[in-house]
Amino acid sequence: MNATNNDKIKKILKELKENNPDVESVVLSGPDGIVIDAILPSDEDPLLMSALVASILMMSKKSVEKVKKGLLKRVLIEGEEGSILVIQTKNNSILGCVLKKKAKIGLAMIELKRAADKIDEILGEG
Amino acid sequence: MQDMERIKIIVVGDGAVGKTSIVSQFAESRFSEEYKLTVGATFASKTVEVEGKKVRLSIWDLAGQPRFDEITQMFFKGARGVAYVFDLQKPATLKNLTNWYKRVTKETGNIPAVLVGNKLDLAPESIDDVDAYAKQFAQYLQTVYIKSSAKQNINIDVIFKELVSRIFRTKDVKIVH
Repeated sequence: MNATNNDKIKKILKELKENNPDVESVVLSGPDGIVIDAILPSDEDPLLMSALVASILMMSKKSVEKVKKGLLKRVLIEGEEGSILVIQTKNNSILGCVLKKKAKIGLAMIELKRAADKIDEILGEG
Repeated sequence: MQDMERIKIIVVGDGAVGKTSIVSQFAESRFSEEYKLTVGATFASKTVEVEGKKVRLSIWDLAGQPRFDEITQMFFKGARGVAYVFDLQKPATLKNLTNWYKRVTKETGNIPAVLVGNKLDLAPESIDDVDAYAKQFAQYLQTVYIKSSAKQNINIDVIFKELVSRIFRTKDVKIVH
């Protein structure tokens, strides 16, 4: 990925976080779990977050396939103190975000999907 | 669900040593030439009969790359047996099994194990040094050293049956007939 694309992706992730106060952190991972970029609080490890969202997505994808429920659309994990939302982009990268407690999940899903579409446009396979 | 003993087994080792191929060959009689990285973990299950007893194995094939360490660690818990896998062409993957051993036993204690040298079909003719080191390590693990080929289906069943047999021999496992 060239420097311009890196900047464009960074901007998309930043906007995703800044435009929605419910979003605590955002990570974009390659299909191999390697971090492409992330906007995280300083105490969170981008490498770990990336591996985590990729694992969540891959295992969920496999689970949906196993029970013959078609293609995976998204993964939502709800904790007592917040949620994790993960989707796969068309170019197979994985976009995840951590949401605050009582976040508007529906809105976050729409915004995450929108960001994934923009990322696809940049990476040229959308 | 049938009243059958269920045993959790984990398959560990460095990336690209053939863990997923071993599990696919064993559980689904399938082998793919294409290398597909395991992201996090994958799961398979199969019923086996060992020493006249039927057990259902749940097999967790864990990613080998260090970036998944914190994730794979979560799957160690509850494992009753472990297959340590290395690539016969790459001695470093054998040496690195000591790290895997430390990580696994830290979580599970000293559970039954088998040591597997995989990709026998691709191994160079002379692997005496690797064999010697592997035998030594197997002795340390108090287990057997099995050479396998997932591609040619050599010794794949043996890996799991040997492991189950060793699990049977541990005191805390009760088998339901």
